Amino acid sequence: MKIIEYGNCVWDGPKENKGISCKEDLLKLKQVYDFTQDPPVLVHTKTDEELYIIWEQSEINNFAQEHIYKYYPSWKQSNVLREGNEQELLKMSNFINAVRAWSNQESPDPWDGSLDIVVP
Amino acid sequence: MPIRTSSIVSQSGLPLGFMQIPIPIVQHSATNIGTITINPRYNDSTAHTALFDSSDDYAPGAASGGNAYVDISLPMFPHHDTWMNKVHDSNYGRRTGTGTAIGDIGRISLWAQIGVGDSPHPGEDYSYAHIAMLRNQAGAYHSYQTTNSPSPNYSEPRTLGDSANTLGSFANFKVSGQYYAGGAYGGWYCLANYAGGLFGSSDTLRIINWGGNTDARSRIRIVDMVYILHGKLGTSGV
Repeated sequence: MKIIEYGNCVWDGPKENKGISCKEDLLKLKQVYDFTQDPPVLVHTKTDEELYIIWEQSEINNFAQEHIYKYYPSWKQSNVLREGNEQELLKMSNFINAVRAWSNQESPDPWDGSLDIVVP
Repeated sequence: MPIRTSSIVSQSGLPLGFMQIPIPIVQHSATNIGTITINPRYNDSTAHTALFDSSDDYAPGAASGGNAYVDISLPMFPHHDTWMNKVHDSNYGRRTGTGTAIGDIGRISLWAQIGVGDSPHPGEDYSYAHIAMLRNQAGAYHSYQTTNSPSPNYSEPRTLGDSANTLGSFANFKVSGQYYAGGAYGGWYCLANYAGGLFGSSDTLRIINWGGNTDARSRIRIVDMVYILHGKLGTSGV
């Protein structure tokens, strides 16, 4: 994960190490406060253009994998492959293909809801 | 009755000493494992006088490819100021009327074991690197510049301790040394001693290797790094 702020990379490393796991966490990084006030006053919230994330492909793949496992953990995939009927197999296959298509598009955003709407 | 020297023990017989909380930032886990390697941005003397003045300086690429910097999350918040914090009651060594033991001193030290270059016993000042250390600031317009407006002034780096953008400060200081046996023949460098406001409210440390010579002479390895919160003990106890 790279966090870009006004064109500058301000974080380069795993998202877990930065404590960012959702859009709300990112919002905290966007908020600018006037610390001369007591309590500090919110004076600006950086826009999506002023602060944004560039994901590594491996991180996008992890999001995709987690999403697939949410509906089809590996044991379930094995069962569908082993015992499922044609309809079940097609349903799972279409879902996995849709998730893979999501992850292979240019600059997918795992937090904009586009992944969540991909369901079996 | 114990022998008591007022400058050493309190009336209750406890030491009037200072205390430290050492907080490891980088800990190598085994030889050559868990260390951080940063290749130099410059393989020449450009690094000797490098300072911050453009966007590229803040996340520079190494001369040989990859990054010439690393971001390290601080494992514990390094706050040492006494904001609204106060322990009420002086039992168990607590200090009252002076905020907290850490806030009473308000100082931090920073130490590191750094491997410089690739060679053992290279001779003094043969392997060297110019280094910058920045800290971030949540809630500010810019993580790594102190400019208080959306348009950054790249000559205002948020260095450790907010030291000036000058040579010899955290914007560019020089270390020399060696590297052998995964750092086993290293040594502790004192990077800051009892400094006030070193980290502020940051949660991330960015280390930039400006370099100065070939990769083999100016590559650095952070083998271990620790910061130390200094405090003052209470005079009562159990």
